[in-house]
Amino acid sequence: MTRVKDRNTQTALSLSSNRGSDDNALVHVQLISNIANSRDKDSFAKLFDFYGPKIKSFALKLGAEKSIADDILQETMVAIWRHAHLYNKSKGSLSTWVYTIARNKRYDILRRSNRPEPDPLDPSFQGRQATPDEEVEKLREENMLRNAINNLPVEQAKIVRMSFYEGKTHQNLSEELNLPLGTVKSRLRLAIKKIREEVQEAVDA
Amino acid sequence: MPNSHLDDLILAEYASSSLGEAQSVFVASHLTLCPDCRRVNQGFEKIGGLFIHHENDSPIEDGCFYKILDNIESSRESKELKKQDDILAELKEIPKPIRDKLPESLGSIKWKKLGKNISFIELECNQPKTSMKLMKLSAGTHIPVHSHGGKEYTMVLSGGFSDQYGRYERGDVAIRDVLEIHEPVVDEDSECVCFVVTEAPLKIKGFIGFIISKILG
Repeated sequence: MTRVKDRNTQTALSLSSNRGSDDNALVHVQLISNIANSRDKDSFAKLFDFYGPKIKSFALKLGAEKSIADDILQETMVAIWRHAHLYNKSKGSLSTWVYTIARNKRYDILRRSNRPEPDPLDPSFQGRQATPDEEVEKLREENMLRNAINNLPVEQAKIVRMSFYEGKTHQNLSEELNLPLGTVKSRLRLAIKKIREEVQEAVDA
Repeated sequence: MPNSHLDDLILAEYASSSLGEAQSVFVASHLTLCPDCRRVNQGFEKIGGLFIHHENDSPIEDGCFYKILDNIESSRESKELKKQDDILAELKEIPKPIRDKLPESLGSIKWKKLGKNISFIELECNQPKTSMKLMKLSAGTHIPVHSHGGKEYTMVLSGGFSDQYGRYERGDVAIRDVLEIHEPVVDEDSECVCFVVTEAPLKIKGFIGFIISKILG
């Protein structure tokens, strides 16, 4: 695992971290595998101890009441148990998988409908086999993204977190940050450009 | 593979679920047909994954874990997938996020005619001031010059059309902003089926345009 260059520097991803969070990613993959293969409740409890409080924080981000946040947390954990066999580590970290489930449950519960998503079983789904280079790149991508986000200027890192993670609309961001809508969009575009350039540099290195 | 893709900002909004229902259906439908945009979307989801991994902890109610275990043991997984065989041949080419908005009884789907060259199906949409439609346009149809009260999102499902901004085929998206005037023309050799989301009524020039925009809204 690549570590953030300087742990003493306050960055978007290390600032709020209160655990040695990179090392446990490998342990989590083993835990989800135990759940998938032998329905192991001890492994499930360990995943709950790590992710439960974080999912609850995520669920509270858009101003949901505590009872709704608890529903989102419970439904997310139930889905993790049921779909443990669908987690594919070659596609991304367990945290990304957990995030997509929590995000979908939040959408479904707050909007009372299922989040529209592309479905690989859909007859109209247009697949494409990734090249071996792309597969390798995918595995390295999260480390590259982590470094890129940590290297963003504070104001861009903040807006990326609020938009990409917390799920705030551009209009919400404009009101909350007291910035014109155009400035919100240009700041996001600039952040995406920087992230992309840094990831590309790492790929080329 | 599509040639006209979604912008980073709308993909990021979809990845974080901050888009409205209709725009989410639009993006999910393009992602169904476009591996390139799916790759960008996955990258944005990984950013969400990094943030949740480093998230602060909120206190959990006592007994929450046992409630989850009870849930797991007492409820059964719902089988929500429709049998693929049930999908009418004509609809197989339509991405599932759009099909899911069609009436339950697929046999009851009827195209509503608007003149001899345009027909449409209004899809269920619970988002205020927003509409989702499937539109079928005969070969060679000219849509009158129009602008929009809000954004207009168009994705080609079959056939093709052109406007002054470019040419569009299956999977291609054209997103027109307020005040962007355009005049789409359908290819001469085949009809064109599109999925169209409008955030506000079209503004079509002239009296005929007024009537069309009242109907298509």
